[in-house]
Amino acid sequence: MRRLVFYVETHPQAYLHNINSYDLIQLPHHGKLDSAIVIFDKLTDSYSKDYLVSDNTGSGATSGGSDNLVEYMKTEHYSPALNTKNGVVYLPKSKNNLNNRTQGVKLGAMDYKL
Amino acid sequence: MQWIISSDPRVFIDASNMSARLQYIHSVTGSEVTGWNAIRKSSILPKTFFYCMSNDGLNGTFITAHVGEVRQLCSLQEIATGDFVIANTCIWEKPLNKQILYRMMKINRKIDLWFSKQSLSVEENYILRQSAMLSKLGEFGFDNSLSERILFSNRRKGFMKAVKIAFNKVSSVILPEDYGGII
Repeated sequence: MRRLVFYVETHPQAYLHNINSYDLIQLPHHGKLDSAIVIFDKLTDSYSKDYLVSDNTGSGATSGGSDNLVEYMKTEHYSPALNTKNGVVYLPKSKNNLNNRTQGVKLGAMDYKL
Repeated sequence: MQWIISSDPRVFIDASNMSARLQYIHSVTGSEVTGWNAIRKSSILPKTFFYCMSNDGLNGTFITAHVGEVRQLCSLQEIATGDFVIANTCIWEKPLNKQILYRMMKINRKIDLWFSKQSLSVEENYILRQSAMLSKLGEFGFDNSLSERILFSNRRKGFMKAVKIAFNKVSSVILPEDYGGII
């Protein structure tokens, strides 16, 4: 089973609790960049998570707006977040996509004995 | 500094992948980077490796390869006489990281050695290993390790400051954790 955490309007102390244990994280405050960076900085491996943005405000000056976040994630080479700004999003039903990404090449062995 | 990568086709995948690696090196060093060149096989180095240079003024080597290959490379005079080596690889079996450091210190007592952040993995016959894995995470254009991702995230702090955050420095002092302990 996949672990998801959803935030909307909440305090950082609440959304940082056990943050590393989730696979899919909804970024708080409708994708405000400052709030998202707090999440990224707290994670041990922020690139290993999937993100959801519930953006229904465009780039409103006072609340929400994920345009800056989208640009930031692109610059920092994150995989794009699932973002409601582009329409309805469908959450992946399983961890298969994530598992495919976390598989890879172990750099052990190859005649390692001294 | 020089950047060396294994010729293992699971690491050195294709031209697009390696071009993305050059872009990554440019981003984390903030300097110009040459293209990839081959280090040909020799009696001292029986495998082919690829290398590039970043014009950052640092006298060190960043190696992405299997730990056995890193061991071979670190026995070379040209690498051991630098200021540091950053080993983007597995420790695999402790205290292999210290053994590599000791071997280089016979040539250069002042050298610093950094290893990637490790995780425990279960291998054949249920043996636990200290592992670093290259995974398809993020949009870097090449398979990357956790330490490479952390290095990139901290690149604006300066290269060596970012290295201190992203990699673990190997101490020449033998600690209890070097005898079966968990990092």
